[in-house]
Amino acid sequence: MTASGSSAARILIVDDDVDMGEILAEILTARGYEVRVARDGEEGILRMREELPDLLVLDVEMPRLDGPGVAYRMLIENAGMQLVPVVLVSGVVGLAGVAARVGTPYCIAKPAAIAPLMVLIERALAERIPPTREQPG
Amino acid sequence: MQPNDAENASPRALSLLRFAMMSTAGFVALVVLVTVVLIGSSSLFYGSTKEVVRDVRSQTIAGEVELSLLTYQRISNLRALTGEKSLDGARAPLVTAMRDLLRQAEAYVGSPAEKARVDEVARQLDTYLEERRRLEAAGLEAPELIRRTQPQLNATVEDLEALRELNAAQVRRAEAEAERWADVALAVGIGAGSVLVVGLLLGLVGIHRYVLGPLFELHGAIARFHTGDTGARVAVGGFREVSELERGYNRMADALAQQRQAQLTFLAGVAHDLRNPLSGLKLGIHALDDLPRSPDSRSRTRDRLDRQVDRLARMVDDLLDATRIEAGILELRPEEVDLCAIVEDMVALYEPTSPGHEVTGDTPAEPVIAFGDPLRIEQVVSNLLSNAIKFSPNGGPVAVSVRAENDHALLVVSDRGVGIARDDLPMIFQPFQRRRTELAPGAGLGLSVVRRIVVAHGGTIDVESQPGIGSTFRVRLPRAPTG
Repeated sequence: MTASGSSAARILIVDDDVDMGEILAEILTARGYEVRVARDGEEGILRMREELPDLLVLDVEMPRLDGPGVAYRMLIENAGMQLVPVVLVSGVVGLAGVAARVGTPYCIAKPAAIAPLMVLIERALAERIPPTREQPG
Repeated sequence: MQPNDAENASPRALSLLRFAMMSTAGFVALVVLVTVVLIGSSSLFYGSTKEVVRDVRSQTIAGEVELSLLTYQRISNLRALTGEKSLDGARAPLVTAMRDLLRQAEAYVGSPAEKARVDEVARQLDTYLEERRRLEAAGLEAPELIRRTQPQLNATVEDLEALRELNAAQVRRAEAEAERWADVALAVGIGAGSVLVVGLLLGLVGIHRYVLGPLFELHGAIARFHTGDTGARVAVGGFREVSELERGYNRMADALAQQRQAQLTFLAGVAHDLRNPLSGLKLGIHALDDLPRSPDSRSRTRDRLDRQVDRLARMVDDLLDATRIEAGILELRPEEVDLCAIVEDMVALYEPTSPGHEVTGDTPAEPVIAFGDPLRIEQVVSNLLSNAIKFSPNGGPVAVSVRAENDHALLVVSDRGVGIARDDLPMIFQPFQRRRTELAPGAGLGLSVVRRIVVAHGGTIDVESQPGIGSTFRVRLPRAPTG
């Protein structure tokens, strides 16, 4: 009902918890988003290099590269990644502080219900600045 | 840490015991000095008093002798003038008295000069009496007799006067001596008194400043710590015993504060780790309603929910187990265990869980029998294995081997994972220590539990690790006696 037909918003989920990532992916797919899942920060960066998503759902504590690390890399890699809105979803204590450090207004504590998570994702998508893409064919 | 600076200064600090010993020694020395001076001066006083008394006696005797001599002369002259024979009866006792007095005077002699003078007086007296008797016997006329005896009388009287003068001089000298010693005794008394008062004052100030003050401060810090100020520490100073107390308190407070911090961190970690499966459950339950109702998707979701519940249950078990072991409640049911069998089982259990890792077991053909609790030893192998997998996120080999080594069984678990930074190595076996660079979820209790179990079996555990290359844990357990 939100993401309409032809141009479905693309969402990248970065979470080391496989089940969590897949359940969320299934839910988002059912709502018409185009979803990919990465198992940790490094893989998340790789997926973003392949194709920039419209939104990133990011966990905080992950092996190899954690959530704030991903956000920092997005900023310095610059290739449009710095404009991708980040929704932090984590069970870490002091999530608001982490979100402030990462520089995103969107965060929600685990365990999160679907409805508020959807509201947050839709708000982030609505408020984002669409990058002027010069994507190679 | 801040107490370290002060710690170096401490061995030079004066010990309270030593201070007490030194003060006591000083006090005793002072008392001995004062006593010696008092005894000395009182015996000197006694000596001079005796001298004065003796000299005064001698003086009196000389006076009495003089008086008797003059009386004798007058009576003799009267006898010569009147020819009254009865007067002879009055002369004889005077002679006896004078001789007695002179014998007494010899007993009071205080110096060789006085002795010579007394002897001289006695000689002069004898000469006078002899001369007088001789002249009287010669039957001289009275005026002639008086004239002829007068010079010898005068000489004797002069000697008696000299004796008196000598004694008077000796009295004056003894008085001066006594006065000088009185001055010395007074000076020593005042000096000792002042030293005592000043010493006492200094001692009191020292005790207040270096013992009581720090103790009050310590008391205050303990009270502050007790009411929640975990930063309450004391400056280290004062006597050695006191500063040891202060350092002890600071160390204890540091340890407590650190422990409190570690527990907070641990709780935060536990909360985080519990939230992950909870989150999966929550989303999954919503998804059951939300998703297209294909039986395939529903059963997949149900499987996931089931896994999350298992995960939660396992975490709660681990937590309880770890907490119990941490509290020191570790019951062992030891028996003869074949380590090879345990390792093979564990490798078989872990191999399929992570396709990215190549879990291999290397065991000898002969069983390696250890004496221990099979369930706990399984826990050791399982914790080390899951750690090895957890900390090699890029996959790679995880090797477990068992070997008999003298009277020990050696279990080695190695990985090619992220390794452990040198700074973190001393802490990894401590409870509640989740490394800052933590890469994988976990309560931070696994390795501390492993160490407790190994130690409870009488074994040892050590680790070798290089960041970026991998870690190797070596566990040595005692072999069964039959081995």
